[in-house]
Amino acid sequence: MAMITIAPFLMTILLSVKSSDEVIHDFWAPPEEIRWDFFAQALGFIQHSIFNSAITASVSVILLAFLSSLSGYVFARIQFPGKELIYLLILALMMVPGILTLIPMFLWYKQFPFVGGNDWLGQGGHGFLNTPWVLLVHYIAGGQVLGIILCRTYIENLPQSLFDSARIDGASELQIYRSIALPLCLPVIATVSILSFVGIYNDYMWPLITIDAPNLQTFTLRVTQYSSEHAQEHGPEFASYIIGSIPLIIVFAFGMKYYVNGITKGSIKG
Amino acid sequence: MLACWLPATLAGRSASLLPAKKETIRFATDRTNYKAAFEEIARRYEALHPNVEIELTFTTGNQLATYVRTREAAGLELMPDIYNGNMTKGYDALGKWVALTPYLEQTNPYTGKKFIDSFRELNVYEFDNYGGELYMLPLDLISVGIYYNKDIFEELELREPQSWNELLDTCRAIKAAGYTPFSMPGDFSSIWAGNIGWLVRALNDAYLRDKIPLLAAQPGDWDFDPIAHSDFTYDPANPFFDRQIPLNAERVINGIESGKIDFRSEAFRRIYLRLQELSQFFQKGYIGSDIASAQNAFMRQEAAMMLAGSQFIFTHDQYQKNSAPDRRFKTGVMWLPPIQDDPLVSGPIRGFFNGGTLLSVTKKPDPEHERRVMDFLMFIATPESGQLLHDLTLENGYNLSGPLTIKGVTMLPGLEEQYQAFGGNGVVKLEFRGLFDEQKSVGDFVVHLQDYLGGRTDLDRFLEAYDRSMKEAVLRLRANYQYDLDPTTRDFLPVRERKTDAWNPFDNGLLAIAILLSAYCVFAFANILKAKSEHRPKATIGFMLLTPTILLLLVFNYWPAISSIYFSLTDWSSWRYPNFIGLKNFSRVLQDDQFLFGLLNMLILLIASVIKATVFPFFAAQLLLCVSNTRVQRIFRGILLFPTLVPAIVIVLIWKNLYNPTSGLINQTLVAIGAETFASSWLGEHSLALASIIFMGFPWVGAIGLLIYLASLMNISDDIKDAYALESDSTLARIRNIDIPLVRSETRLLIILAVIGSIQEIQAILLMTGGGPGLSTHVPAYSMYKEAFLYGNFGYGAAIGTVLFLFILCVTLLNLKFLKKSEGYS
Repeated sequence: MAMITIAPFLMTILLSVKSSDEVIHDFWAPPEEIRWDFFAQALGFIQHSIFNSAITASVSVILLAFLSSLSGYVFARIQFPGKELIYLLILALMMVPGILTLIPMFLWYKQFPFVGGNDWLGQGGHGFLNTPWVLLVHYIAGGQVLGIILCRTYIENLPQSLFDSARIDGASELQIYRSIALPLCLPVIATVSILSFVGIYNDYMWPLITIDAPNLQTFTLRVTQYSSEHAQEHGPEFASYIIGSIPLIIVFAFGMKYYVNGITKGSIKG
Repeated sequence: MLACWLPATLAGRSASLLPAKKETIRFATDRTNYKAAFEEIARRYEALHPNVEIELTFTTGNQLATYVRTREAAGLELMPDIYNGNMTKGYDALGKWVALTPYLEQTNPYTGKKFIDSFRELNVYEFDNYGGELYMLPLDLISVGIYYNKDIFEELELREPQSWNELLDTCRAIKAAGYTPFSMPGDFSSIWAGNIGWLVRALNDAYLRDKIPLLAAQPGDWDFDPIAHSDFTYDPANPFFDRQIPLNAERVINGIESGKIDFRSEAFRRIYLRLQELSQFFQKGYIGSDIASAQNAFMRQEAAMMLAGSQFIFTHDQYQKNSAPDRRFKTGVMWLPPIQDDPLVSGPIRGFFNGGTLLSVTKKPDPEHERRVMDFLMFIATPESGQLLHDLTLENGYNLSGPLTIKGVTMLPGLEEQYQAFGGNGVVKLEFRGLFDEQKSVGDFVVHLQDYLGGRTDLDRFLEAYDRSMKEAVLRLRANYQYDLDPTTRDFLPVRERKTDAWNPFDNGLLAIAILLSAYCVFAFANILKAKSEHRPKATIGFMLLTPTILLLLVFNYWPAISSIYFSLTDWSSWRYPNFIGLKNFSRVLQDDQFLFGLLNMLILLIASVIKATVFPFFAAQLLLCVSNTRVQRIFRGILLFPTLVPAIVIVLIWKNLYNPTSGLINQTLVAIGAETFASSWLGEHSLALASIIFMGFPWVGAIGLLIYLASLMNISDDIKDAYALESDSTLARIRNIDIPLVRSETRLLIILAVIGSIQEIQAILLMTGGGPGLSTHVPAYSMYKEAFLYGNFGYGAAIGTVLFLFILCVTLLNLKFLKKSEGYS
């Protein structure tokens, strides 16, 4: 099963060093000649955009993971009226099809009052468009939804006794969050971070319509400029997918550290 | 690192904004092959005109329409000034583009000659756009031919067929020798804009040419030019007889409504009989094959003939040059021979010598700006720029789309001659693949034709459905363009400026934010007061801690979502600004056959994705935990998560190749183990396509499910496991009695996420099947995408989206209730 799972990645590597003629002749066969030069070509073309994407995704992920865990903690552990309704309304946001909101979303970021030269009616300027904020704000705000849901579910399943003992000791909610909930929910924060990072990093539609400036281009925007039915060689395109996945691999390796067996076991016993 | 990045990018931005007088020309194209050349041309233009800035945007083909339409919805200002007009066909009639004809007569300041003299033969091919005016400027020409393998033809002692019947005989001989006669793609894009589309259009033109005198502009019509069109005479034997005269839209509509064009008549029957006659010589399962794989089969010499555009010359030449000698072969180019024994055929089958990269200029209110944009367009049409387009494109390893229209470009030796083989067949004029390329009518046609070619419907039922959808298209066109059906008058649409209403929160963002914030504050205070007095501090803290999250969500997520529900109550489209129309869109949704049919597919996909999202990740997580060695466990965990790194587009490409009817690994394996009866056209058969979409991504260990299950299974303390181990040593029993109940809330979450995700998912369908064959993989979310971005009906698309949202909401609420209940029982 592991082999089947990893097959698409191996195929991408294969396609990244295989010339088009060989792909036409046999899509599946290993290359007769390994074309490392595709990698060199791809690297120069996309390195700046990888940097942009990685920074955008990192900043967004740090902030959205923080907000998600805080709100997830509130929803899971503080009881007050109106909470469930708010939670349901947040959950409802996940159910709004993304394509449905694409046009209003674009309009809104462009016509945001007092931003980017806009007047109070949102006219006259470009709003958030063509700035890093159009990506950051969008990803942080939107990414929270899944994050909150995951964090709440996880924190709810932690043993209540942990929180009770802290409350008895007289800790405030913020202290409980910081000293108990936050360390305990590192695995779910890792999950949220990995998923959000991958999602943001691979997003194509939003940067395409909101970013024009070449120095702000993200990885996906750049790599699609490689993909053309008229390209004589498609290897560089696949090579850039491989190079582009390096930040993702780093995030995976880093995030996985928090999946260490028995984080919670120790704390319950102690 | 971050600290230096943000200010730097902000500074970069303000630097581009600060010299406020800089004029921006926005240029968006999907022709990424010309990227290097356009960049260099833009750079040179900016050097000549320091106060102008060219903003270039390159997209993949199917995203350009989404890009343009989103920007159009946000107002004219951000619309690209120049873009590939064929992506939003029909904008000429709507007055959204600049008529280029007057500019063609002006002097091109960069050559000193008339603008039209910058082009070769432009007047011949592209003057019939709308009302005799040019709206789409072709930068290059593309033509279609039948490529044939000369080696196979020589081996079988065949010659280029001279008549349709001889073509069929040739196919028979090739088939008998064990080759595929025609390599043909049959997927969505092949019928929409590619190979089968060409065949249909060519046959349409051959059988319907005698109707052209009836439907073309006539003296007195608004689009009849007494000078340019005076010499028009009907001469079916001359493939260029009608190159100047435009078809008059109202005459065509009158023709359909009066029954002079009858989609169930004998002429139309013959068109589709001929198509079917030829289709028996296509490779097996061709409906599930895309354009690239059909071309590759020809290159591997599995097929003797293939339809392809002139740009294929490059792919072919390169393959011949770089391949091992035993893989090389000679090719020739010919065209479809005339149908001789059919009295309904008016003349030889015509070709597609036509513009490839068609640039349109968006009409914006500022005439100065329009002149500037035209000046840049004239700069692109100079011999120097043309040479750049030719040289830089080839230098960077891309193909030209076709011969450039720009005069004075020195082409690669031999290229000119190769292109010559495509000329002389004329240009198809009258065709009813859709009605005037109205996008929805073409989309509907693809569905019906795939049903017919796939054997789902017979000819009678196909023509009936076709007739119905064309008549619907007539109604839509009459409504959208406000035709009065009098061909002598030009029917202008009323041009309205969109006014912003300060009291409408959908126009006034400040008002919207104020409403949202006060709603939240009122809600928070009401609930704090509602709490018992000893709980009030807790409630206050709760609301306070939630505030940042809720502020962000209200402003940046809720508001766009609420706006789109508002837009679903309007008739907003490419044709008009939003007008409130109540629930009209919703009653239309409930009568939309494609939407209703899609619901069933959606339910099937939904059930499948729930199973895929829970069962498989759960067992994968269990397997991982069974591995006691932590290092091995870590490696396996990495391997299982690795596919998340591969972009969806690559996954789709690989699965498309797996599913390919001839060269796909699945069918090849089946043949190799002697089970060729099971080999099928996985994406091309009505009964299999949906299952194939579901099967994609096997073994479905999604990262999200795996990570969630892993995190919580690790949390089950060893004490519980040890205690259970005393009772029973069966792992399966432990999983059933301990693990599954303990991960119930995770499972519930994953089910909800899977439901939400699967209802919205369109990427796989968009890239794999385009909803086909027929409607067999069509889902409502895909209807929404098509309506909003391909057809330009934003309001109606939003209504479909709103219905989907309500549907998801109901399913989720039921889900929560049902799962809570079952939890209560246990």
